[in-house]
Amino acid sequence: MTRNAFLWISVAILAVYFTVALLAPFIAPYGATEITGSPFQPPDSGHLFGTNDVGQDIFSQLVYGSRVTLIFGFCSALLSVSISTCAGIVLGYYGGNLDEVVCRILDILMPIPIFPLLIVLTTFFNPGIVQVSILMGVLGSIHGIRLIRAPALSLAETPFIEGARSIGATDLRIMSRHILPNLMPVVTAKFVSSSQHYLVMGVGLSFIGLWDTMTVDWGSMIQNAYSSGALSLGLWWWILPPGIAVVGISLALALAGYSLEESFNPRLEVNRI
Amino acid sequence: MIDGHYLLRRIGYSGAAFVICVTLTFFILHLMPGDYITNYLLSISNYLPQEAVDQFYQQYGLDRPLWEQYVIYVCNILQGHWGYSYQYGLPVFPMIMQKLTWSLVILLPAVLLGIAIGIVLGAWSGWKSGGKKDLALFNFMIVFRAIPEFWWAIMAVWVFAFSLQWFPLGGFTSISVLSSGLNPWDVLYHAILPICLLTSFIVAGNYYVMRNSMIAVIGEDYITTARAKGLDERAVLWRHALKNALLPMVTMTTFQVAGIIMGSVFIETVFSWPGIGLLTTDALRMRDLPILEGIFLLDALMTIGAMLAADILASHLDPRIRMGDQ
Amino acid sequence: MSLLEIAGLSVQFEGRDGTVPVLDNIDLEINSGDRVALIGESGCGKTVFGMSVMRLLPSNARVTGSARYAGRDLLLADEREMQQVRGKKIAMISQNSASVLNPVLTIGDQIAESLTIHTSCRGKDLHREVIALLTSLGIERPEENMQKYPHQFSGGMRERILIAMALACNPDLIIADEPTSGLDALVKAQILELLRTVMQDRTLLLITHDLGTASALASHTAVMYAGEIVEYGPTQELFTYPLHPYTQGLIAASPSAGFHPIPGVSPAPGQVPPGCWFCPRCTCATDRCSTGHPSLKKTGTNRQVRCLRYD
Repeated sequence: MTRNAFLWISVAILAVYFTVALLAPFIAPYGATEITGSPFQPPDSGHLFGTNDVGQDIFSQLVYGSRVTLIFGFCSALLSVSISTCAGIVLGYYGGNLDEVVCRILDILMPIPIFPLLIVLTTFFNPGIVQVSILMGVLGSIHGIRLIRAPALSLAETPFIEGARSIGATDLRIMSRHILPNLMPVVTAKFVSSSQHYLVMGVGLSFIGLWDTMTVDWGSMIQNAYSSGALSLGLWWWILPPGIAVVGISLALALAGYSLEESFNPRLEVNRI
Repeated sequence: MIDGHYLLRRIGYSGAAFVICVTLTFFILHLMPGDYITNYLLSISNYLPQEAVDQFYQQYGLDRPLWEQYVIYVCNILQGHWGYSYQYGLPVFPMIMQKLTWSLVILLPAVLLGIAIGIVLGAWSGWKSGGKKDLALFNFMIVFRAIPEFWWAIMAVWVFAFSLQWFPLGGFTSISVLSSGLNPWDVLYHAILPICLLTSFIVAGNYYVMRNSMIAVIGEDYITTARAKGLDERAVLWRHALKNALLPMVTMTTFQVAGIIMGSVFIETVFSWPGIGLLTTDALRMRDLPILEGIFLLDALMTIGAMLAADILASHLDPRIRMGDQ
Repeated sequence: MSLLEIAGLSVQFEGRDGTVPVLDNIDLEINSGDRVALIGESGCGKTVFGMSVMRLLPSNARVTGSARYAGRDLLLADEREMQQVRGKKIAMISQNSASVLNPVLTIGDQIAESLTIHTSCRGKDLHREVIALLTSLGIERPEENMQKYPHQFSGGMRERILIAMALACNPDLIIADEPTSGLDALVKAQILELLRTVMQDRTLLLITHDLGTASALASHTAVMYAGEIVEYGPTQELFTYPLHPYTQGLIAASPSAGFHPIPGVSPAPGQVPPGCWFCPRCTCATDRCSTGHPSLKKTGTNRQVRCLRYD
């Protein structure tokens, strides 16, 4: 199979997930927290994936839960990559003292572990999804800035940028019209891999209980089912759907990420997947 | 022959990072609505005489100016006084240390095995890059890494512990042997599955970095030079490629090892392993901020220390850094 | 006596978009004691030629023809046999000294390595041997310098180290690929002088784009254009009376002759015109040049040229 085929399959899978999240009220037969039947009902026509311990419809929870998961994953990734890209381009383009100072600061911030800091800060601010996404995006960009800065720096020294400057293009124009488009491959690949990373982390954080318990998302669904003994009770329909949902989107994003990374990194060209 | 300036600069960075972490925790603690009294002492007893409160404030230096408190706080941190848990009213530092010991039971073997296996597999795969076996392994690793760690753990529990019943469902000891104290073999029996899982996550992470690094190295001119000397492939790999390919691994591995404290959160949650991870989830549910801060501080200290160690190790391996003229 | 006899050597690279021919039907004979220069523009396939003799091309290269060394066709030899040839019988001085030395090994180790694999020289003898090599190549304080790493040396010193590595096992043939590239004029002159001294009684295949280097070092010169040899002869004669229009152009383009560049550019690999490959850039091309591809013909006693004018 070629790289492109993988990319398109991934895009198709992602499209399905986004459609479900967007059209959740039309797709889900019940509300996410609505009690609609007796507990532990196996899948049937009324409850596509059965019901959980209090009789909520698992299919509906899955559909609504996709919103939380996707918002968290993609918003943090978007924010983190945007900050990294802007800061990286500015640092690479202007260089000099600003670059020097910011790089030193990044050097110092690098070893601060993001994941536990995030846990502390979210507990302190007692947050919603959006706040955590913003925190996550800002903290995550510490590691992304360098990734963008390096190619921006070498681009800024190429003759065509010199040329653009010599015909009187403004700095802003050079950065947005000349440097950014050339960095788009790196930025896109970074965005896709960050989305996968943040999405899985979001589900994981929810799995260990970061969100407040009223929020229904895949992580809390898995946590709820697992800690209530869904495995030993043989209630597979309770735990499998959210798990498979996470695995599906994570795989799609991972494959898309690797395909992009490879097509932009000629050194890895031999490794056709 | 390490360049003194380089080392000093690195130590300076580490110190600055440490100060930032300590400052962050200090301000979170002090900006928090309420303090030890309202959050902790009053939860134990409804009535406290004013003298007792004053004495408490005096004892803990809370009546002093903020900057003085900050200095005292830093001194306390250095001495291992990390505050008191809301839930248990116990000092945080010994609690974390005790849990850390349990975490290390599964972390230590997993990290050592994971790094070793990851480097060997990655080096081999990168050396053979483009071949059928390499591609099979590479694709397998992509898929393996894409699936969340806690999901692998749940599936492993389902298959190996629940269906096949080869391993216990979780915990660190069997209740039947608990009366006669802990039995090392029994603990090991409980630890095998979590260790295997953690090991494979670390292997997958290191594999990918090592493979990329190796692919970059085999394209270098000095590899051709080595072949042109008449070295056999094995000597080219061991003498010329491996050491160069390991250079970027040192930093990456440090990042991973430092991050694995948190990575074990998922494994410990799934297996009810009484380590740092379980302490974290527990504190998270109860919003026990001092414990969370303690864990953050511990992880920060370990990461900062590990990165400093990695810098020194890297400068030992790479003469270009060692001489200070990169 | 012929040391290396290359006949009908062709190299193609297999890429995603089909195969790309890089070398076409090269015949070249190197006798013991000859110092043969292979000159041509960048990208004409000179480096590939050296690498193909050493069998060091990447796995997507398809090499045909023969390269007989001491009666044995190197292109048919297995990997073990080649390992006995590389470094011991045929050694290489690669271009770009900044990247061909391993950054994490001391230069002493890297020079000693060839001796360790090909000779029984060990311990103190090995140490003495390395120091002797470094001294003979004009590297001062060899004891101290052999403990250093490549990045601590200047380009000229690294070039000397590369030459030391190549000479270590006293090989029958040395392939030097652009030994003076990237050096400033003064250092270049020193290295050329050094090479002239150490190559005095050796067999050398010099690969270069620089006519000055070729005329300073080589007894014979082969001119390569777009992957084939267009002219061959004794260096002195060839530079004084160039026969092929391309050789004439090269000489006219050299700085000492006043920088008169050859119009046009070399064809990309695999996109050569029909007829004579140099025809589109040739000042004396006629109608028949664009149809018939000339072969390499002997002219006079020891000259060969690939041009229809000499048919």
